[in-house]
Amino acid sequence: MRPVARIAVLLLAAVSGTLRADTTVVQEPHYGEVLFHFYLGQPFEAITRIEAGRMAGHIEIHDEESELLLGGMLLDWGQHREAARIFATLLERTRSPEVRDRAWLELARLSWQRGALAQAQTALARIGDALPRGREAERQMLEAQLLMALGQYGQASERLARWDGPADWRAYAHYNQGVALIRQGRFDEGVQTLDRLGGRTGRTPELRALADRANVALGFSLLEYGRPAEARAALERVRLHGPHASEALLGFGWAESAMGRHRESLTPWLTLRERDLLDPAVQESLLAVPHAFASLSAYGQAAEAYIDAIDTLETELGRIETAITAIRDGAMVPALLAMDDRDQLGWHWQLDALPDRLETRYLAEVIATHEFQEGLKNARDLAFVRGVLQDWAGSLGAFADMVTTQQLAWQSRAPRAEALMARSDVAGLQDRSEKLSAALIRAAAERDTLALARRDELQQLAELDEVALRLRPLDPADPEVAELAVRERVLRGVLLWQLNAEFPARHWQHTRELRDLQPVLAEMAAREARIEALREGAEARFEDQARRIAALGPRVAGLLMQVDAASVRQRTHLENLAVDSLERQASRLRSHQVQARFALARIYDRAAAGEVAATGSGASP
Amino acid sequence: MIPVFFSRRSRDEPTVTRGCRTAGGLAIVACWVMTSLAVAEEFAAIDRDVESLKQEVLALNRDLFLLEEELLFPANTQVAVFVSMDVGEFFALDAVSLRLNGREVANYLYTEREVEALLRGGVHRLYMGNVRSGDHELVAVFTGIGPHGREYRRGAELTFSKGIGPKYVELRISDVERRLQPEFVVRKWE
Repeated sequence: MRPVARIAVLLLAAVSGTLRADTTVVQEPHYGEVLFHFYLGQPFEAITRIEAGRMAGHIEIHDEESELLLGGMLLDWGQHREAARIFATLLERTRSPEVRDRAWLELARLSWQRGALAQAQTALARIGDALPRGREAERQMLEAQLLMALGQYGQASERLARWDGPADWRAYAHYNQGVALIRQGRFDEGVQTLDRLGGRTGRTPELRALADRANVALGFSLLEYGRPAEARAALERVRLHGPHASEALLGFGWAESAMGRHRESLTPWLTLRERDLLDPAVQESLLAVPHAFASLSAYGQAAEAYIDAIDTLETELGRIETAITAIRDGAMVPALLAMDDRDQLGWHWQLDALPDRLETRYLAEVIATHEFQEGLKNARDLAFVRGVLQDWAGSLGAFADMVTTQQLAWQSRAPRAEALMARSDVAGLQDRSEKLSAALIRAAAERDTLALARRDELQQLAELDEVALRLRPLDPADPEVAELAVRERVLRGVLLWQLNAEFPARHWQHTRELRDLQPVLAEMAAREARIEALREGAEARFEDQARRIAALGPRVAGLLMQVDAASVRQRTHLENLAVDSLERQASRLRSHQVQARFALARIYDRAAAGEVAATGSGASP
Repeated sequence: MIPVFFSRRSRDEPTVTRGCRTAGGLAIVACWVMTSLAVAEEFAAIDRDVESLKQEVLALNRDLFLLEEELLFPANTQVAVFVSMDVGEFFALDAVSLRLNGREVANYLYTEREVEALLRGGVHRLYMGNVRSGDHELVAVFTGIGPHGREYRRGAELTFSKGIGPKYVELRISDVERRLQPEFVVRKWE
């Protein structure tokens, strides 16, 4: 596996890779779950949960935040139209200045990604002053990039000079600032900026690679401006084993050559010539070396080196032809995708290493282009969604079985539920409770102590009534009868006094018991209603689920077919791009061959004319 | 003499695009590789198709996700337990085990990345299952590294009543500054 020297993802990657959920206090666990998957780099899971959570009414408090997050994730997954729709809707309905500014920033990012620079500028211009600090830095960086893309390097460099963003981005900002200054003709200022950056050691491999890159850019710029000594100093700082070493070696040789130090120019070029011929710098060294020999009047060695170069280039051309055939046979895309962790779609995925196979070893050039990377992302996304669809296709049968099982289980329980519901009379109980309440109120109003008498007391009263009734026909003068009548009145009096004395306490007790009964009755009524609803809705729910499963099956199958068709188209397109690139490389190699043959012929012509000895004469390096 | 193969590095030549490489020279991130119009149109057409296809897949995936949850965890029996964290200065989470009505239903070991996601505001759904309506007892045991770098193990329990609707429980780990201790709070959501 060989690393692809990825150059200058630079600020664009920094900016496009900054989508994040701004710090927030999570007030709904389902939104927190979305964030969890988002932070784990599982955007597909996060998108699904946002959409499902919103449909199920689980995400309401974080409505606008979730919209912004969803739009951003969709944008990064290449869903430009849907993302644009979300941001536009959000702008229409939000009252929050921060949400509005963030939506405009996302729209600017969207337009930038689609190459609609004017729209991106318009969107940026709509942003107010409510962006969080990190987002403000992102806005400024995007603005600077836009200005550079529009060729307004002066304004871009001004913006970058004022830029106050995260420390990690600053080095990239300085790089772009140096480039912008040179492009607008402020050469010395640009050189100073790149020189400062190139002189840093860098804390991380990325920053060290950026310093190398700055030195290479600086070196070649100085060479073009006829300042080879300074160019040499800049190129000398590039690490020999870094991703820019080959370019630096080539430039270093040209700096020496430009100062007339042809012998010294051979050292980097001969080193370079031993490297992998896939690198254009190495290819150029095949011709640079004999050029140096010729400049040293070592025509014999120059001729040998040209012959070697012609042979080497011929061999390489043969390999390219074989690679083109292998690509046409469809081996390339599967080999590239095999390098990928397909568990998640990871929106910022870029292939940064090439499999060491014939059909892929010449792809370094094309793989670094936006179009190829985007196409590869599409191919990868299609492979991912294909996997998702296949999983669902397998699950649908199980879903149908589940519905059937649940329906059968319900049907077996339904008669018991029916019988239970038939026996249940919560409404009757509530009615009785209400009647009792009314009776209590009446008893209190009329001081009806008998209304609150216990059963035994009523029995006693009834017995006293019976005694009184039986005493009535007897002779009251009879002492025995008189005594019984007195005892009857005393007992009645005691009983009535007792009822009267206990009436308030009894009334309070009954009232409280009835009050305590109310929630129990309400819960019973609610439970009865729920059971009734479940009973009534069960069959409808099973039918609805069965209908949904039946409808989803063809949708899954249809989409699988579409995904397969799109994958073929995408793969063919990628193969075309790759073959074009390889043909360009072949063309460049053929051009080098022509130059080598021409230079060789010139040496032979001179030798024939007696100007030089064809071999073995002249200075040697 | 400037050789021909060097002179093609014109200053006006586009050098670097988004993620593209050149053999040196100045680089501007914002420029795009020059491609032929026909190829670009083909790319745009495929891109549009793929975009539309992915949108359909997202909608389908959402519908299937909802259906699956509805079938596996019907609302009248559904219970979900979430884990969340705030600062995490006094407690570095390693694992959470969960017992529901005395039965272990989850035992989850967190990766560094997952802890980071929790600290940034993410909420992890630790468990989702089905219970009957009525009262239930939930016991969570958190293990990790507590104050002063010592192993730390703490439990939290909750009795909750399951009604007809889904029940959500959040296990929240937060720092108590004044006590320099972590706090484990169980919170019910409806």
